[in-house]
Amino acid sequence: MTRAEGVWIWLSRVRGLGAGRARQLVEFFGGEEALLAAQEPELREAVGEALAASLLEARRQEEINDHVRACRRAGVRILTPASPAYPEALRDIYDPPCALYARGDLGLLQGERLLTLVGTRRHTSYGRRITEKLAAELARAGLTIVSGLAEGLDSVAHRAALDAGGKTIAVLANGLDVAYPAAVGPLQEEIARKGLLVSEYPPGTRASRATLLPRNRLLAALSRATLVTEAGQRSGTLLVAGLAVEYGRELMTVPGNIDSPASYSTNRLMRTSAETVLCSRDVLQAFGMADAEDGEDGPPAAGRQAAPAGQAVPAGQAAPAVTEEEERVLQALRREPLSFDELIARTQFSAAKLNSLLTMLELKGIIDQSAGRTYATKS
Amino acid sequence: MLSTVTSCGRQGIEGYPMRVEVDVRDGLPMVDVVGLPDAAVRESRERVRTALRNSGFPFPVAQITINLAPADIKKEGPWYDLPIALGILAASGRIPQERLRGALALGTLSLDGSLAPVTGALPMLLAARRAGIERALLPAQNARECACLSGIALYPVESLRQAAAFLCGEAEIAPLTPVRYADLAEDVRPEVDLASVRGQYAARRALEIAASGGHNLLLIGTAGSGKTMLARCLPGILPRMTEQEALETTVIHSVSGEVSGGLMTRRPFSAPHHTTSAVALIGGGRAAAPGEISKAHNGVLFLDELPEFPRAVLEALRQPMEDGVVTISRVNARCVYPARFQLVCAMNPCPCGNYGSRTRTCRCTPHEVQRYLSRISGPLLDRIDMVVEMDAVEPDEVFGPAAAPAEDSETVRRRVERVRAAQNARYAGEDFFCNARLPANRLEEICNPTKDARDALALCMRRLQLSMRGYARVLRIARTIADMAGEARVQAEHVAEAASYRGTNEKYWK
Repeated sequence: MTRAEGVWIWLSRVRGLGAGRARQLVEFFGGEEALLAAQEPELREAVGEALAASLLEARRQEEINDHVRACRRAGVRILTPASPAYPEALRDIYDPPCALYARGDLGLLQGERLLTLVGTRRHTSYGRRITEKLAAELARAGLTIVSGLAEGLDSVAHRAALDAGGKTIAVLANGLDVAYPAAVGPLQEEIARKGLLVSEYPPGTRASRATLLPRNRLLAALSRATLVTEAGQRSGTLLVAGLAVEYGRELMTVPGNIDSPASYSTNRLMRTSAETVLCSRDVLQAFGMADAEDGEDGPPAAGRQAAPAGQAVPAGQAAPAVTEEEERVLQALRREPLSFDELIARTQFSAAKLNSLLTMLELKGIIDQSAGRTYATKS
Repeated sequence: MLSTVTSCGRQGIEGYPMRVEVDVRDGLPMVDVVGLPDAAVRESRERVRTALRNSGFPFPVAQITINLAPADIKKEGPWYDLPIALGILAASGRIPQERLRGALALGTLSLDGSLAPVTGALPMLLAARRAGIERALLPAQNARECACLSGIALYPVESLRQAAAFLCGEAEIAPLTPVRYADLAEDVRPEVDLASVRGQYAARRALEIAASGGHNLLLIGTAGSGKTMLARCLPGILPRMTEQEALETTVIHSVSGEVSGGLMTRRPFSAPHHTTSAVALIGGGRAAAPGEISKAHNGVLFLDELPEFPRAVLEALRQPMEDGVVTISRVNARCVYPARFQLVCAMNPCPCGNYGSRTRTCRCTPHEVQRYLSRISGPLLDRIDMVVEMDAVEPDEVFGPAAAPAEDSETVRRRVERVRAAQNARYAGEDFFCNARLPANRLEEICNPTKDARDALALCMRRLQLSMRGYARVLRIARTIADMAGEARVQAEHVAEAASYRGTNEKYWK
C-alpha cells in the first residue's frame, strides 16, 4: 500500500465524509501527500470543526494498516483512486468511491467491454427469459455482465453469464462477506471464484437504504452501456438508468407489452432516452462488436431459433421429441404467453388433457409457467 | 309421595337416559336439588315454581327433594325443567304416575309455563331410542330437527299445561310423523352452483378431482380470482349425504344449537375467520363444545387467507385430520366429536394479492412474497394433496359473449358419485375409504402404474425434484384421475396431470 492509497483508505473511513467531499478535499490540498501533512487548523479551516475532528480521529496509521491486513487475509483487495487497478470509468464521475473492495478477477475492471444489465426483482417469465437469453449470448460474445446481485433479474443475469462460461461482475451494496438477501449467497461465492465482486463498503457492512442508493452510481458508471430488460413503475432499476444517462453512458431497454406492468418503465424509457434492444446484436453494435449490415435476427415466431452457430445447444442434447398434441399447444404458445383458460379456448382440449400435456411439456423443458399460471415457451 | 320421570342428559354429543326423582312430603317448605346439578339445573327450581303457578297449578307447600339419577354424573343444562315440573305434579297427585311410565320428558320452562327449545335434543332422543324408550315429550320448537327419528313416538309440547293435560288423558297431542330421509334428500340444491363460476377450467377440474378422491385442496390466486366462490361449490358436488352421515352432522349442529330446519341434508360448509382461536376451531371451552372442524364433519372446512391463521391454530388441525375425530378433555368431561372433513384452503400469492397478475402491479418484494408463503406450516402443507393456481379472470371474460354456459353442480356431482362408488367398492373392508387416504405402503399395489406411467413418474421425480411425500401425493391424485377415466391402472397421462397439482414447485415453496 502506497502512502497515497493509505490517504484514500483513511478518507473512506471518516464518518460523515462523502465520496464527493473526499475527492474535493484531496484536490483542495493539492494531492494526497499534502492532505496527509495538513495540520489541524488547516483542516478546520477547510472543512469546519466537526468534520476536521472526525478526520483527525480516523487518521491513525496503525488502524488503517490493520484494516488493510484484515481485508487481505480475507482475500479482499482495496482499490483507491491512487491505485493503478482502479477502474478508469469511475474516475470521471463526481463522486468516485474512495475505496473499492474487490474480490476475484481484478482484470475484469480494466476491460472496455463492460455491460451493466439490470432489471426488476419482480419480473415476469418474459423478463426472465429475455434476461437469460441476452446475458448468455452477450457474455459468450465477450462482454462482461455487470449487475447488482439483487434477487430477480440481476441474479438471473449473473447466473446466465456464468453458465455461458462468460465473465460477470457483481456490485454489492454491502460488505463482500455479507449476503443480502441471504438467498444469493451461493451465487455470490461462485462469482467471487469465477468473476469479480466489488463494493464500496468494508466487510461486515449490511445493506441498507443508505448503501443501496449510492451503489446504483457504480452500476451506472462502471460500464459503457446499461441495459434494462424489465422494470415496472417504481423499480429501483430506474435510478441506475437515470444515472447512466447522467454519466453519458448508453442506455438500452428491451420493449415489453404496453399493458404489462412489469414493462411500464422500460417502454417509457424507450420513448425518452433509451435505445431499443431487440436482440443481442443490437447491444454488440453499440460496443462496435457486430456489423450493422449483418441484418436482423430471424423473427422470433420462426420457432425456437438456433443461437449463433454452434453455441446455444450443448452438444449431445437433442431437442426432445414432441407429440402431435403437444405440438398443438406449442403452436399456440409460440405466438404469446397464455393463461390456462386462454389455452383451453385456443386448443379446445379438455382441462384434464391440457393439464397433462402442459406438465409433459414442462418436464421436457420446453415451456415454463410463472405465477398466475401463465405458460410460455422457453427461449 | 314419590314419583319418577325419565329424562335425558348429555355429555358432548353422547346422550344418556336418566331419572328425575321427586319426593314431596309434609315438613318445612323447601326445595332441594341433589345429584351433581350445575348452576342452570339448580336455578330450575325458581323457573319450575313460577311456571307451575302461572300454569294454574299450586306449588306444593311441602318438603320437596329432587334427585337427578345417576348421581355420579354432573348434570348440565336447563332441560330438566319439564321433568322436574311433571315430577312435582305427579308426586302431589295431579298426574297419574303410571302415565309417566315409559315416557321421556325434556324441555326448558319459561316463567309463563311455555316450553323453550333445548340444545342437543337430537342426540338425547337418539340415546333414548337406544334405551328402548317409546314415547317422548319435547319442546315443539325442537320438533323439526328430531322429526327424522322413527321407532320412538315424539310429542311436541307447547306448554307445561298442555303436557299435564296430555298426561292426564284430558287432551291429545298428535305425535310427529317420521320424515323419510329419501324424501328430504330429494331436492337438495347446492348453496352455490358451479354453473355460476366463469372460466377457471383448471380450477374446476381440480375441484372435481378433489371431490372425487377426497383430496385436500389449496387454492392460490390473486385477489378477486374467485377462490372463495369455488370453494363454496365443493359441498354441492360431493356425493349426497347418507342418512347416517346426515344424522351425525345434524347431531353436532344440534349440540351447538344451530339447527334451524330439520335434518341437515346439505353437506356443511364451515368457514372460520382467520382470527378464530384454536379452541373455537378444534372445540373445547368450559362446556367442551364442538368446534368448527366438527361442524364441518362430513362436509368442507374452508380456511380463507391461510397465511393469516396463527401457526398454533393450524398445527392444532393436524391430529384431527389424521384421526377424523377430535377428543376434548375437560376437568369433568371428556368428549369425542367426529371431525371428518375435507379441507379447502385459499390464499393470495403475496401480501398485496397481485403477484402473478398480468394487469395489476404487485408491490411486494420477492422477500416479502417468500416470507408470506413460508408462513404456512409445513406439516399442514404435507396434508394438502393438491395445490391449484387460479387464473385472474378479467372483467370482459366474465361479462363478454365468449363466456359459454358452464356445467352445473348437479352434472358434476353425478360423475363424482360414480367415482366415489367405485372407490367404496374397491376399499370395502379396508380402514380407508377414498384415494386421499391411501396409505403409502399400498400405493404401488392399488395404483398399479403402467410402464409408461412409471417412466413419467421417474421423470417427474427427477425434473421436479419431488420428495417421497410428493411422489405419494402425485400417485394418489393420479389414482383418482384414473378412476375418473374408468381405468384400472394408472396411465402416464394421469401421472402427468396429477403432477400439475403439486404445489411445491420453484415458484412457491422452494
